[in-house]
Amino acid sequence: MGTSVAQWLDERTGAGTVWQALFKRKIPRGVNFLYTFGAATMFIFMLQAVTGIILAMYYSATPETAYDSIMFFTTQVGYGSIVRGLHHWGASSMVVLVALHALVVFALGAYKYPRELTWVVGILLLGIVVGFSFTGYLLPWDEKAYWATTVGTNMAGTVPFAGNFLLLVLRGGSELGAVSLTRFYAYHTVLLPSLALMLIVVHLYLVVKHGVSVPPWLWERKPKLEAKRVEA
Amino acid sequence: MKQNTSGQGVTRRHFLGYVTAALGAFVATVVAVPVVGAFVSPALKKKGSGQWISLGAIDKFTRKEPKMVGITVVKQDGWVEARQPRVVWVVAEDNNKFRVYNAQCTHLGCVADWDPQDRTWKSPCHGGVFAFEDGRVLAGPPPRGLDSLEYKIEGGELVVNYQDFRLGIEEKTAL
Repeated sequence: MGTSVAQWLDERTGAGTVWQALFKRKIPRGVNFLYTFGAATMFIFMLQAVTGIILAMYYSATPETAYDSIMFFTTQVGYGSIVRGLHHWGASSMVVLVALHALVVFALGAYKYPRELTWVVGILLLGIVVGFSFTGYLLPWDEKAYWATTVGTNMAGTVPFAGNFLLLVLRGGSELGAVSLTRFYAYHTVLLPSLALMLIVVHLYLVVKHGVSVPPWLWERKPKLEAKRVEA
Repeated sequence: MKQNTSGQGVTRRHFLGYVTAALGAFVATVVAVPVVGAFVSPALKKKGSGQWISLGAIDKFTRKEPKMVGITVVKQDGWVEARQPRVVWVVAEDNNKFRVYNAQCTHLGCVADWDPQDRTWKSPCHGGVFAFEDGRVLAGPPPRGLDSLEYKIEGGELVVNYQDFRLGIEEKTAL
């Protein structure tokens, strides 16, 4: 019965092909744990998404209530402190993981032809992760958040020519206040997730299309054979 | 790719597949427990208790006509201490006895209004009608009569133990 349902769906959606392409694809001989940081980042992204949805249910983005709402979530809601903790530590580990992922790709030369666009999209995603960190940091609206974001947005203000414009647009006004908080909340929960999702789809498509790159320590050994494996 | 067709044991490939799936299921469970727990947490809260609120001097209530009294209950609404308006109906009886009703219609919570012509309470929403004598249902969809509230008399004032109840069900249960 299980197979017939799967067959029915596959005939109508082609989901089996997608499954094959994602999880049953051939990978070159000799890959190791250095190749897992991308998938680990993907897992943390999903973790941030589900914990973030719960946090958004209890968050109130006004200067008067932001801190209280987060304290309510952490102290009064069942599992609240765990969900918030997962989101907090997930945020830090995501930055660490994307950095490691980028380092490994760079060190192994995996960004080279034909994978340049995968790299470029990856760099955009790296920027988005940093954006998530920066905007999420403000939301607890405690002293640390307030002053860190004051300093961070002031940095944007020192950009030649466009500085003041950037500062005002980022903050939604000259001072960090109510308008900045709703703005940062929208950046963090609507704008950045949408962008990230689109770019992740492109990134994954390119990864599947080109296959995993052959590790450099196998480049000299039977290059033709290895190249064939990647194609398969 | 060699397939294991002998039916004995599993291939290395399948074994690794199962291990991966099991690890994935384990991690998913570890994440799902707190996430789902926090999501359904409001449903696991203990029931609220009533709060005693003065409705004013007892001599303003009469036997003939019920009197509507608007009150303000103070509720902890998440991270906000909210002041919420509520309405009760009061009918005086002999010997300093009273009947106090939560004005919410027991069907879906519209505030029942007094109809002096029919001498009944009527909900404006779906036609619930309640009797003057005891608040029982005379017509319409409400599953039980108006919810009566506990009261006491303190220093010549009527003080009611205001409480919200679950709506749309037959039993009168605290919310």
